[in-house]
Amino acid sequence: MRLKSKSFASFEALLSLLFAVAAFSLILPSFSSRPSYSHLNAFQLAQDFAEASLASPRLRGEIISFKNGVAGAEESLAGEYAGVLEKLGDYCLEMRVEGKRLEANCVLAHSQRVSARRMAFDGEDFFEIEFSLYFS
Amino acid sequence: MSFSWDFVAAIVLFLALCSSFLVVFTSSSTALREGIAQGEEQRASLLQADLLLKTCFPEGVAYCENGFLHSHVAHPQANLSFESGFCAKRVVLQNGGLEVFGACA
Repeated sequence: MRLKSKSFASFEALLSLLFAVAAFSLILPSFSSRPSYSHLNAFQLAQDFAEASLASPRLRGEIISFKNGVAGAEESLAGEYAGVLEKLGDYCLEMRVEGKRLEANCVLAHSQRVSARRMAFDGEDFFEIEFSLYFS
Repeated sequence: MSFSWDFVAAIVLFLALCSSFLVVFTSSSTALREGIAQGEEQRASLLQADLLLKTCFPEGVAYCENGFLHSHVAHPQANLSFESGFCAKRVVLQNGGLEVFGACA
């Protein structure tokens, strides 16, 4: 009778321990979370690429040439963007304009993406341009 | 009065839980404090870069003409270089070309 009572109390203790460990492991992730502004910074950079590219008459002309399929425009733009991305860090830039796609510095696979869109005028029509920045 | 092993087991379990909680809590709070400090540094750099980008040269780097600030255009004489370490980087136009501007906390 005494032995039975003792084993029941130990089971209760074991159950309490299991509950305590489960509760503790639920709380633990909140201690390890760290605030990060990398997503905000990438979004600012995507906006910067869109804004600065269209503010420059030379780059805007090259974008319009790329949209119209002019030979050499893609290489020139990709080279310009790759030079900037080298200084920024591990980012991949994708530019989409009227079904055409340009990539710069896209060597590694990235898990996150931010985009910035603008409307531009090519002298005859308005067109939409999208800059996407991929990062990890 | 009989000696109770259940009582001893409960005390041992309680002490083990308390000590493990203290160890994990201390290390986690230290990591959290470092993370928050790092996040604050990032936030300060981002704000500093944004402020400089939206302030006319020479106080900031923006190119202004007759009181009008040209968005994302840096003054030709503005120094865009930045130090190593954590710096918020932005893309601007300077002398017709894309340049990277950095502000460090």
